[in-house]
Amino acid sequence: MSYPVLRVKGATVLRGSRTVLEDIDLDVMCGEILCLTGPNGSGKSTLLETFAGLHAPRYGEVVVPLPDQESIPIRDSGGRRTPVPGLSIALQTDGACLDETVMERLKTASMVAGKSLTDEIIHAAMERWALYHRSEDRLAVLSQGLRKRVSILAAILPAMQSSEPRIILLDEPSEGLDSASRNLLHESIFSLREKGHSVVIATHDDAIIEISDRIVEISASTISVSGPDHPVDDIPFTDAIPISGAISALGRWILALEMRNPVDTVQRIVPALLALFLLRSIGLDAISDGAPSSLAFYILAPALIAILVRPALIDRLKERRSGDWWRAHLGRSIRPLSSIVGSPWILPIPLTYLSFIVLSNSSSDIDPHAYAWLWLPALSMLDIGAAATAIHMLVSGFERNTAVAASLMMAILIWPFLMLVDATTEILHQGMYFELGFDTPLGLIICSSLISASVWGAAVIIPDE
Amino acid sequence: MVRIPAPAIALLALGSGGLVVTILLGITWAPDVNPSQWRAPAAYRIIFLHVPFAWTSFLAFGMLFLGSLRWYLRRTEHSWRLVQSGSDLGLLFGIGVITSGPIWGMAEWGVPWDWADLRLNTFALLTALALFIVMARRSQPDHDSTRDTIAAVGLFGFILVPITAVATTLYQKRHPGVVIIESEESGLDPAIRTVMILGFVSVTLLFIAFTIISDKLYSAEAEIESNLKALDEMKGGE
Repeated sequence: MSYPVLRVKGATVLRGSRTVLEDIDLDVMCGEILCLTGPNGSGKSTLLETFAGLHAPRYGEVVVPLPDQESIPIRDSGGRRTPVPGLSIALQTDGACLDETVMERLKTASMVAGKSLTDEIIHAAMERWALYHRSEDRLAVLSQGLRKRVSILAAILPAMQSSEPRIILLDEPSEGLDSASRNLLHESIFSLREKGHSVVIATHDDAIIEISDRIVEISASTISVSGPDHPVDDIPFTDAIPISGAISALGRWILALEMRNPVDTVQRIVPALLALFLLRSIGLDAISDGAPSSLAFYILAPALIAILVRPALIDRLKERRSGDWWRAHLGRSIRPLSSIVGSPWILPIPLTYLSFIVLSNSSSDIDPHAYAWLWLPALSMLDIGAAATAIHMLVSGFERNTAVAASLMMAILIWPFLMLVDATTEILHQGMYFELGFDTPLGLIICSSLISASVWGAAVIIPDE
Repeated sequence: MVRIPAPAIALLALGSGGLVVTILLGITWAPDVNPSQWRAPAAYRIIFLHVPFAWTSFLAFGMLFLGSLRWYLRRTEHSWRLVQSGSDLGLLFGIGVITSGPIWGMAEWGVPWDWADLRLNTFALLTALALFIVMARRSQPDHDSTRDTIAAVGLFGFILVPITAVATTLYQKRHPGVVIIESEESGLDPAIRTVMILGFVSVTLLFIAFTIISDKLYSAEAEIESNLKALDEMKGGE
């Protein structure tokens, strides 16, 4: 059977202001090894990553052809974006955060591919690739060659265990490998083809070029294809591979990294606690103007400081292009998902209660049951936190993200925060009550959450990731 | 050398002259307002600048929104120039609004800022976004991906403002109302209206002149950049 599984149609791709690929038409056929060759900088990696939907074509599109002449748009110049079903990719750089262990990387890759592989299968694969003795080591301590092996194994392992045809994209897979690993790589590529999977490889490796079915030579932004022309069969109907596994894998990945190295929690909690103890040492009476909302403001301020900090997740996604690896598998969903999972879920409620305990003894007119309801505005702070994370992620999309000021966009979050201050003031001085209105605690909290949700939505949905 | 079109120079001269006359008439000719209704009756004269600035800010932010939308839909250089000019002029006139507002607020309310004042806050936010866009444009390499993100921020502002405006209007019920043109209910004094219209016309003429000049400059900049790239390729090929 020979039918197209992925298609680039009339695609022109720019990297910066340079046109790297111009008006490219190319199909990836089921069960073939397609080799992308050409001199350094010719656009091999760009074409490979365009197949994965990582680059928006200025013109043209990338699609998955379907039997009924319709097609799934993977990426086009109009901003449409869908992850490639059944895709696995090994980027030229690791595509992984270096805090991950070898075992975690392979498990994550399997989950993302929708395959729940047992530890025994993963151990056997690691043994074959001489990685078993390193299974619990972080990628950071591995040599470049070992990391390359992990990256390749993560891309091919789900396909090795899959009976459904999959698409594997490998960018310079033999770079940095010793001769034994190269031989293993060649055997694995051959074996993948035998199983009916499509393998697209950007490479200079003559041994891989020799075993390819077709060779695409890239030069001066255009391509020339050599290799046998097989008759094209009808595309069979197949079930779409769901990305729910990838979504839960992302959640687990974020939590696992934070638990191993809690940079995010620490860099949020330190300024919050400093602010709190500074307020305490100055003395609330000295800084308060006597307005009833002052206490509420100071109680919520440490939590606000904590949630506005730039999330560590952004740096984790930038490290060794791990964010691009996730984008290839999750498509547009990466930003909304990571802005929610990467928000400081744990901090606002304990910080708010801590501030209440530390600061409230200077005020005598507090409702005795107020403490029982402070969690409610603190919970709504999570919405502001998700919006702040989304804004940070939008800003991090800039090539020189350190040269722009995210705080200018954060200004809008002062309004939902002030609504929470008013809600907290009501709770502290009048006690909690459940009427709905624009000046009741519940109404103010709902309004605050709606504004935060709108900010979050605008920041994650509009930008063309 | 970039040649500024003669109509733009004429509009610039007319607008600048009109603005100077507006300020002079506003200070010397426009009558005082009723001292019983105003805490600082003399301070009202700032509206001769504040309100026209707000109007032209709207025009600039509208241009920014239109440019951002068109950039997403068509990706043309003209759309991008709208984003450039809209953000520059939005920042310029927005700063005019958010500096003149607090000056009046300090005199009239006793505080420079009211977080419940819809107009002040909306403009502050839009001006912050315009500043963000101007800074991002100046600091980032000029690639499609950069333009996409900047255009997204342009749309972001325009989508958020009405949502926030509705929420803040409802929220504002708890706070003292903020009214700038309080005398509107009883009708504007003809002299005040005359100075106000003169201010509007002058600032609008300035806005049109700036837009033409800005468009011309950014076109020239794009042309120079294109020539420099051609030169890079020629030099690289030697």
